[in-house]
Amino acid sequence: MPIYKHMTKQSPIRLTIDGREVETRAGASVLEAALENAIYVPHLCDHPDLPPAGVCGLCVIEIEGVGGLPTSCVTPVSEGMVVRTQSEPISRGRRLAMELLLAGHPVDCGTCQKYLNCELQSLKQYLGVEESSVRRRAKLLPVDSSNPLFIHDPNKCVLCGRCVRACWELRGVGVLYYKKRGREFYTYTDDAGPLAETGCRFCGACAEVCPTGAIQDKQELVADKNRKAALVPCRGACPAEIDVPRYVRFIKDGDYPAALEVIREKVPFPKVLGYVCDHPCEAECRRGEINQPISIRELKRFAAEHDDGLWKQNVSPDPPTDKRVAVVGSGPAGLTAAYYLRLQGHEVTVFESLPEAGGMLRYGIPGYRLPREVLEGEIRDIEDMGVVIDTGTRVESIDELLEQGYDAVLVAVGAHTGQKLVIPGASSEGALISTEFLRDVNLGNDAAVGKKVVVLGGGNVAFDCARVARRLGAAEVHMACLECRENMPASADEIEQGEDEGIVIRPSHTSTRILDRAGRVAGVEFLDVASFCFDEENVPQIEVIDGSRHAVEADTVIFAMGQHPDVPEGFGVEVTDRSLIGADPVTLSTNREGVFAAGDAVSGTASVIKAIASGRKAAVALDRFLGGSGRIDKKLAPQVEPMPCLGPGKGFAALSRVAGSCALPEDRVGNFCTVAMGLEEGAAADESTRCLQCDLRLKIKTVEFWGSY
Amino acid sequence: MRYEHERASEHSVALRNCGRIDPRDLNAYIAECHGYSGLERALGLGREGVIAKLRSSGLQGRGGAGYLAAAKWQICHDAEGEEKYAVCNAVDADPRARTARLLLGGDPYSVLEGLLIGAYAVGAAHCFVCINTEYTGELTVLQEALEALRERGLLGSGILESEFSCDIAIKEIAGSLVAGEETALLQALEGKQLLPYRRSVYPAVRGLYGKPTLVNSAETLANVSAIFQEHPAVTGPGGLAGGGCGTKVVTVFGGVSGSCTLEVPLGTTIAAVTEAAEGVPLSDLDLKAVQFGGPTGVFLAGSGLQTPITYEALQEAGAAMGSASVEMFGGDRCAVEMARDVMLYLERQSCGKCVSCREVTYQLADMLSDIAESKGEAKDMEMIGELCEFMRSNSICGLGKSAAAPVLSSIELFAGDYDAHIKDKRCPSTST
Repeated sequence: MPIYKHMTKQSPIRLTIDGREVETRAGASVLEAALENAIYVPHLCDHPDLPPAGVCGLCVIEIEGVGGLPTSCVTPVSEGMVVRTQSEPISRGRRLAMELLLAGHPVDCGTCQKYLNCELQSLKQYLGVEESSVRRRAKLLPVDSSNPLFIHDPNKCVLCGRCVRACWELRGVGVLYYKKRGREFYTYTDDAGPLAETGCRFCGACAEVCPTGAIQDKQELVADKNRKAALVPCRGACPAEIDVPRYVRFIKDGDYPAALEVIREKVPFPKVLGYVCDHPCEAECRRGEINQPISIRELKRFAAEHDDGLWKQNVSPDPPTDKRVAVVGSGPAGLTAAYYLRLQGHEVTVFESLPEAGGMLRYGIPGYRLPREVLEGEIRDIEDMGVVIDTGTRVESIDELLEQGYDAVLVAVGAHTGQKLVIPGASSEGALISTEFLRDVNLGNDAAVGKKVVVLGGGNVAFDCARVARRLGAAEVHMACLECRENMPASADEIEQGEDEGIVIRPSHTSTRILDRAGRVAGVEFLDVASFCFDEENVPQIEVIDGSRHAVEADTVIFAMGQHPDVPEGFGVEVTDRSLIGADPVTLSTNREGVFAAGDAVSGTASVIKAIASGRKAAVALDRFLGGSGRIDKKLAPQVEPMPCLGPGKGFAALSRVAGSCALPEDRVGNFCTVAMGLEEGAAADESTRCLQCDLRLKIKTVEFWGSY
Repeated sequence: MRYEHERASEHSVALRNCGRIDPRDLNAYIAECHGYSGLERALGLGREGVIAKLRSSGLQGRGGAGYLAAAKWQICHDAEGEEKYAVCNAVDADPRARTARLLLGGDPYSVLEGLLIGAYAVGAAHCFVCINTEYTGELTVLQEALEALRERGLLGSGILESEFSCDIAIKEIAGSLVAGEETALLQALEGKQLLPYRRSVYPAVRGLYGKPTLVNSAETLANVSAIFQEHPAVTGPGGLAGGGCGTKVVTVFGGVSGSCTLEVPLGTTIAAVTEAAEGVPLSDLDLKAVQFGGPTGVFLAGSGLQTPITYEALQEAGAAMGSASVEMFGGDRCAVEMARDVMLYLERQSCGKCVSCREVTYQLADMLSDIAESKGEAKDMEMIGELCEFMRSNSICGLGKSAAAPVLSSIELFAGDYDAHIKDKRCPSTST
C-alpha cells in the first residue's frame, strides 16, 4: 500500500444536474449530490444515517446514456455524468411509485399524530398524488400498543425499511424484521413477540427514522413537551441540566474522571448530590417504562467517589473583572453562584451567619445522609477557586454591603425559619420546630428528645427530624401527615429507610391539639382525614372522618411543616405574602438594582438540586449585570462522539436496577454514620449498562422536507 | 415421483454418480468415480491454472443466469482481500426443481469437490453450503460427508498435503423463491433476514461480511468437479471438453407422469425434453403451454416449444433458464387462471422489501383474479402493462425483475382468453 495514500485527497467529482454543473465527493450517490446542491429529489427510503436501499421508487432520475430511470440513491456519481431530475417519464414513475406506496396506507391524514410532521404526507403533496390509478385497500392490521415507549401501527407502514436498517445497520441490535400477516407486510420482531423479549435496546432509532406514523413514541411521553426534553427526559428533568446520559456512558466505558467532569460542567457539588439529590431525573427515566429507572444518583456518587482531581487543572478563574460580588448565605444556591461568578473573574465574598458554611446542607440535612467530610471537601474546592467565605457574619443591611464597594449582591439566605401549627398546646414545653431542632443538633447544642416523639409533617425534613430523634435515643417515633401514604411528599427511599428504622408513619392524620400535662407535652390529638387537597387558591381543603378523634402519647412533638426565609428588614427587598423574597423568575433580580435572590429564599423549601440550579441562574444574571457574557457552562469532559452501534441486547430489557445498599437498621439508629453505602465498581458498571442511551437518538439527522429546498 | 437420472444416460455430468454409488461412501467416490482427482489436478495447476482450465471448458453457471463461471471466479480471484468466502447454493429456490436435493442426497462429494476447487481458485479458506431446511435426509448425508472428508484430510488444514487449507460449514436456509438471490443468501449467512439487497458491486468483489465471495449453485459445482476430473462425460463427444455445450438438469412436471428430473445436453428443445419426460410425442400431449424456468418463467406455446434449451436461445425467445423447470398446462386450461395462479404464488413469495415487487404482485394478483372471475375491465389490461413494466424496471432483485414475465407472455400468447373474460364475460376453457 502506498504510504502517502492517506495524504492524497480524492479529487471531487463534477457532474451536471438539471443543467447545473455541481461538485461532490467520490462515492456519493446521485441523490446526495443533488440534495447537497439544493436540488430536491423526492425520496423516502433513503436516510442520511442509513445505508441506501433503493426500495421506494421515488428518487428515480434520468442519466444521459443510461436507459430507463435509475434509482438515484443507489447510483454512484461519476465524472461528467449528466443527470435530469425532472421529466415526464420521471414524474410518471414517481407518481406510480407513490400511488403503490399509498395503496394500503390510511387515507385520512387528519387523524394521525404525525399530521403535518410526516415525510410521507409531505411527499404526497410534493408529487400531487390525490387520485390513485391503482387499487386502494385498508390493511386492517391490529395496532400494537403493548410495548413500552412505542406504538406500532402496521397500517401506516409503507415498508421503506428504515427502521429495519436502523435496528441492524446503525445500532447493530437486529430485532426488527420484515413480517407478513395475511397478504400484508409490516415490520416487527421475528417471532412477533414483545420487544422486551427480543433483545430490543429501546434506543428509539426505529421511531426516529420512521417517515410515517407506523412507529411512534407513545403520546403520553412526548405530547406537549419539548422534543429534546421528552426524548432525553433525565437531562430534561434535571433543574441544573446535567448531561446525564453522557456521564452514565463514561461510567459504562470505565472513564470515571470524565463522568465526573460532565457533572462538574454544570454543578460544583457532584458528591453532595450523589448523596442527597432527590433525583427528579429518575422519575422521568425512560428505562422506568420498561422495568425500573437507572440509579442515576448512585452513579453520580460513584463518579464523584472516583475523582482523580485532574479536573482542577482545567478550571481556573477568568482574568479579574475588578467587580465584587457579595453573596449572603452559603447554602447550595449561594455557593453555586459564588463558584461560577468567581470563575467568570469576579471577586466573590460569601457571608454566612452560622459558624460554618453549607447552609441547609450542614444545618438541615443530618450527617447520616450527608457525611460532613463530603460537604467540606466540595466547599474547599470552591474556596480553592478563590471564593472567600466569611462565616459567623450576619448581614443585616444590603446598603452596608454596597457601601463596602460590592457591585452586586445575591441574597441566598435559604428558608431557615420553621413554624408551628396554630393549635392549642403548641407552645407547651417539648413542642419543637424542625429547623431549630435540626440546627441545634448540627451545631452540637443540647437537643434532647423524649422517649416518645411525634413528628408532624410528611416531607423529607419531617423524616430528617424523625430519624434524628431515633438517633438521639427516642424509643418510639411517630410521623403524622395530612397526605395519604401514596401522596406523601417525602422521597421513597426516605420513607423506606425511615420505616426500617422503626418510625411509625401515620398518613391521613390531622392534629387538632397538643395534649399537655403541667405545661409539658403529653401527646397529640388527631382526627383521621378522609380527603385532603388544595383548592384553586392553594388553600388546603381537609375533610375529616367524624368520630375519629384519637390521641397518640408523646413527650416531644416536632413541627415539620413549611419554612420560610428570615429576611432582615434592612435588606429592603420585596417580600411576598408567602414570606418569600420577590424575584424575577428569569433574571432573579429583586426590586433593588443590583440585588438578586436565589434558592429557597425565593422558592420556599425545595431541593438541593433546585437550589443549585437557582444559583446557576443567578450567576448567569449577575455576570450579565456585571458586564459579562453570562456563559458559565464549562467544557471539562472529553468531547467524544458516542458510538451509534449498541450491539445485540439479549436480556437487556430484563436487567434489574442495581441500587446501593444501606447499613443495617440496627447498626444505624444509635449513631450518625452514613446510611447509604453507594455502588461498588461492578455494580456501577452493571447499572450504567442498563441505560437506554436515549441521547443517541438526537444524533440521528433529520430529513429535510421539500419545502426547505 | 420418479427421477429420470436413475436411468442416467451417457451424457449425465452433474448427476453422473447419482444412483450409481452409495452417497455415504467416500471410498466408493474416490475409487469408482475419480473422486478428488479433480481437486488434486486443480492443486497442481495453481490458481490461475484452475481458472484457465475452467475458462477453456466454457462452463456457464448453472444457477440460472448463465454467466461464464470462469469470469466470476476470475473477478473473485482478482478482488482485493485477505479473507474470502465460497458459497454453494443448494436451497432449490424453485421448490419444484430439486437439482440440489438430488445432488446432496445422491452425490454430495461431487459438489463438495467442486466447492473446494472453487475455494482454492479464488483463495477462500471458508466455505458454506446453504441447504434447504426441509432437506433433513440430505442434511445428514452432507454432515457425514463433511466428517468423512475431515477424517481423510480432504478438509481442514493442508488438504492433500498441499498449502491449501479450507473448511466447509453448513447453513440451513428456509426454502423460498428469494433464496435464489445471491444477495439474500449472503444476508442469511450473516445471520440476518433472508432478503435481497440492491447490489452495486458483485458479491465476488464485496459479498459476505463485505469480503469477496464466490457463490455457485450445486449443479455448477458438480460440473466443475467433472471438468477437473476429466470425466468421460466431459471429455467425450458432446461434452464440454469435447467441443459440446455440456448438459443441464431439467425438471418436467404437470403432466400425467408426475415430476421427472433429467439431465439433457444443452440445445435439446423444450419439446424434446417434455416428450422424453412424458414418453409420448408432443402431438399426443394436448399442451396449451409450458412455463419454463420456474415461477417467474415465461409461458411458451406452439413454436416456442421448439426453443433449444441454451442460455442464448432462451434469451432470444424472451425466456430465461431460471430453474430450468418445465411446467405443462393441458389444452383445457384457461390462460388467465394460469397467470393468476402464478401471480398469487409470486405475491406470496415476494419478500416485501421493494415497493415494486411487493405492491405490484399484490395489485396484479387482485386484477388477474377479477379478470379470471370475468369482473375485469378493458382498462385493467392497460394498467397491468404499466405495472408489469414498473416492476421489471424498479425491482431490486432478479425475482422482482422477472416476476412480470409470466403475465406478459400469457397476455401475448393468449390475448383471446383475456378478451373472452373481459368482453364476453366468460371463460374460454369452460362451456359456460
